[in-house]
Amino acid sequence: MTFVLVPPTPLFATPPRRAKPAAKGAGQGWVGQIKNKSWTATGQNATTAVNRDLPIEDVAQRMNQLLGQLKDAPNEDAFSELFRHFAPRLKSYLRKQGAAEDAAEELAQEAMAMVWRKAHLFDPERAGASTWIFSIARNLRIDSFRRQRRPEFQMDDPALVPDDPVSPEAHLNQGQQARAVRLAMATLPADQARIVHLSFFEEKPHAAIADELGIPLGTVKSRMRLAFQRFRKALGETQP
Amino acid sequence: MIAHHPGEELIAAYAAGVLDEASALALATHLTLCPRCRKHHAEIEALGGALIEDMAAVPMSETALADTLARVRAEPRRAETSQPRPTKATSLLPLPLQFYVGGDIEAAKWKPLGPGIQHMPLIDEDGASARLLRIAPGRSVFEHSHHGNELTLVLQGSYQSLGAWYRRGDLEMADGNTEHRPVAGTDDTCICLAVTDAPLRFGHWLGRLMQPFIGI
Repeated sequence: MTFVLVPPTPLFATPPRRAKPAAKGAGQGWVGQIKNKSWTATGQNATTAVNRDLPIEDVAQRMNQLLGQLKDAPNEDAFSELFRHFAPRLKSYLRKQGAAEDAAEELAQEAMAMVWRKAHLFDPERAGASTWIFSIARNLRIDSFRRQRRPEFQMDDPALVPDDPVSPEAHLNQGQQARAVRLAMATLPADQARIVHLSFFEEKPHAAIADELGIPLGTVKSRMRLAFQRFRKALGETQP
Repeated sequence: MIAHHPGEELIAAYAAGVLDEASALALATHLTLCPRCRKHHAEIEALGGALIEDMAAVPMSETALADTLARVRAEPRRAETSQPRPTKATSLLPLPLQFYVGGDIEAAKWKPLGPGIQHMPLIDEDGASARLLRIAPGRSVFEHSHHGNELTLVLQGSYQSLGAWYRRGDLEMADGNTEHRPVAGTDDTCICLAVTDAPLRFGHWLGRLMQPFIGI
């Protein structure tokens, strides 16, 4: 695949630069949060959740604990707390992707019902609660909006080529992982953060983003590639 | 050892849930065979988790929790989903593909496509298509270029394209600018998954004018 080469903003600059305010669309999503310094380089203020009094690690640990309880046995108290935290956020995510009020409400409830039904499949070694719940809402959205399914790889597939063993030192708990993701995100310049953000919300990601930003498609692809590469590199550096 | 991987932006689009079903099938199949890309995918999913965590909370209806609890209370606990389950110790086709083929490779229903080439269409929807290709040793697919993007993933045997070799698990990405003429290796029948996505359409006149020049 060929990509148009664009001179990007300097990549992998060290130390990480503070993100510039976005020229357009600031005040929304990650870009806005970066501008408001919620995504700081130290991560000390990196909580934009309802539990604003708690650091993100603690929120993540708590949600993992609750989902762990639900995994072990039906537990309406644990489920209720998960619901109060995640359902309004899932509804927000679905609204932002174009679902009407009623549909977003219904899908958010259905996603949480799936959390109940599938809790026994939650594997805290592989993903945190918010990541696992994101994947459920994402699949439900594909199913419902597009009437398609999302082909999924399965870890018990006989054809699976297994993971490389992870050294115990390299293993972050899910609270640390949640914080590391935010720190990595905070190292992205505003235009890359915006592209990353858009890619989670645009149904036809590449063409729609090209349209929105007024840049050629090839440029979108190469910028997207660079943005995600940079995100993952930053994530790797925050891990031991 | 896999040498050719999907681009970062494709893994991201799969993780975000914005890929068409045919392309997503190629990604799910590659991820089954590639621990490296599985790790990348997990990292981008974690970004999706952070995104959910940071969404502004929109009020749910007052009875939302009670309604949802009532719904799940009425269900038997832990109804298993009906994903295909592995029945053998090894298989040529990863499970995401078996869902469409109806089993492992011996279940494939081949149709002739050209000299030494057979195919089995799997998905054809909104201009995006996925098919299995079966190419006799040493045979080639006619020279072609693409309107949209084409993803080709090798499942058995090998092929050579534009000077590079592709083997099991390798994924080749080609776009409208690529003219290639893949040739199967002489040692084995080459079986691969070929996916073509929908030609992208622009909504306004400038985009349509631009389309021939930027090669999509």
